[in-house]
Amino acid sequence: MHRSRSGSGHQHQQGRFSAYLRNHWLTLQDCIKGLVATPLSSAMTVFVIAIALLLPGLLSLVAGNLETLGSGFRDSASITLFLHDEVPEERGRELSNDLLQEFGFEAAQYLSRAAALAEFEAESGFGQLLTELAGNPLPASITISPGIAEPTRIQRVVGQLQDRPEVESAQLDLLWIQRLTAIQELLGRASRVLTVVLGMAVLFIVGNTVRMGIENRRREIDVVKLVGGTYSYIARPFLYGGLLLGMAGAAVACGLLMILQLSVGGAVDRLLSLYGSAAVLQGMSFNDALRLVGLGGALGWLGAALSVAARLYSSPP
Amino acid sequence: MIKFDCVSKRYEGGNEALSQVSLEIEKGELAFLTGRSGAGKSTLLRLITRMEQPSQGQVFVEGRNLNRLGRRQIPYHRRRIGVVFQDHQLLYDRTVYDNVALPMRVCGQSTYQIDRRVRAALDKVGLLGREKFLPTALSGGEQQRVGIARAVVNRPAILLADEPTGNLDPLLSREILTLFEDFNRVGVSVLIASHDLSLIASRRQRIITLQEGRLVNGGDSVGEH
Repeated sequence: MHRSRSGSGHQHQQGRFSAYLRNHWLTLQDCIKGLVATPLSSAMTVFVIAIALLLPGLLSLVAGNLETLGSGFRDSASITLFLHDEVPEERGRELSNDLLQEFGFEAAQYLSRAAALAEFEAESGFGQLLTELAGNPLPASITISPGIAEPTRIQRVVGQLQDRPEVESAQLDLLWIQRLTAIQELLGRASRVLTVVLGMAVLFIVGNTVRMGIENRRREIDVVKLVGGTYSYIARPFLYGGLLLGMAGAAVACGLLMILQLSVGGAVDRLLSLYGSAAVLQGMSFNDALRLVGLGGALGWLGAALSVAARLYSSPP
Repeated sequence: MIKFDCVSKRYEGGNEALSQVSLEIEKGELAFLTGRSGAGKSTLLRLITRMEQPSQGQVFVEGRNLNRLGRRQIPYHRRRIGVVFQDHQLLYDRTVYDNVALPMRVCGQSTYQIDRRVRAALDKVGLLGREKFLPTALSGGEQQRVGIARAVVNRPAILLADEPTGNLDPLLSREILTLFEDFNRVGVSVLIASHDLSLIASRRQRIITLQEGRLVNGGDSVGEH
């Protein structure tokens, strides 16, 4: 039902497209002006959004660091194979090398019975007492650094190793990795739930701000409706507003995370080194920041869209 | 052009603003709508712009049945109608130019076109040169004229005026009326609601009279005055 205006065809089309762009540009300016006109209210909204987005951002950061940590702790996993007493030394060394080749372990160290005893005597200070009393009770062993971080994989390998004829028993020191994996899973789950909840919070926050904005501009909206403004024309400045608020909130959240990083980073590094890890706190990358800003913008836009739809559809056209 | 077919409008609370009104306004006609305050004049105009829907009956504008108009089509319907109010409904935080340009901006017209037509409209109402003023810097009469410029800037087929001279002195009122007649002369259908009988009496155009929501006079365009 749109009556086309006069004007030569091509120039007319060009004019319309640039008018469309100009409309959007004007809308954006209008929207920024509106936000700046109520600086306190806008700042508060941005800050609240920042806090809402801070937690998911933080959790994702921590989860990322735990990944690195996990790989750092990889080194501390070790498998100890205890060999049958009948296995001769030569065979034991051979086996150690074979396993190293076969599984691609980081290291495999054979310790003969005699060497184990000597080590024990030296460390325990019992001297030759043990030998004189009971002979050598200690078995030969192969200590393996598997260089694998995933618990399930290690356990599978251990199962395979246990099946070797020379091996009497296999011992796995896995506790740290299991703990770490459990923590990671917990964090992952918590992070997902919190992200959804806080995402909704952002929707509500922006929605409320937009609702108030619509109230404040009621007169103007009525006039626009009167002269034949479409829904999208009226909604546009609010949608832009939501987008900007969301992005600004996310940017502030990134800033807060960086501050957190700077203040806490040193202490975390110390803690990590105490646990024998060479890892260092990984901060937020530029991509992470971009993603957060994108998320904030999307949530802001969505919150605005929902609020505008609710408000404009409930009143007469 | 505009046709009311047995239209009644009842508001919640039992107030019947219009009762069984049937009338027809031809294309290019200029008619006055009179009646005392509360007779239903404003309601009738609001039905034409689809601000309201009738409780009974149908309203046709340019052959379109407004009852059948979808929500999305209403803006396009309104673009064909220019409305002037007694309280002019200008936006105070925008310049005269921006106020008058609004109907064109809403349509997505090019800056070139907007510029041309806005200046033409302002020239027509005698306010060329005041584009950068804010409405608050203008007198009541001038504000009313800005409202008229906004109503005609998009060259609508229909012009509605709800008490356009309500706040103005007789001389100004006459000037405003002359403007409406000028627009009518170029083919715009004009309907002016006014209870200012002194203004209307001197005119020879059709007069439609409402009394307590009922059509009392002037139902047919080719009827007696």
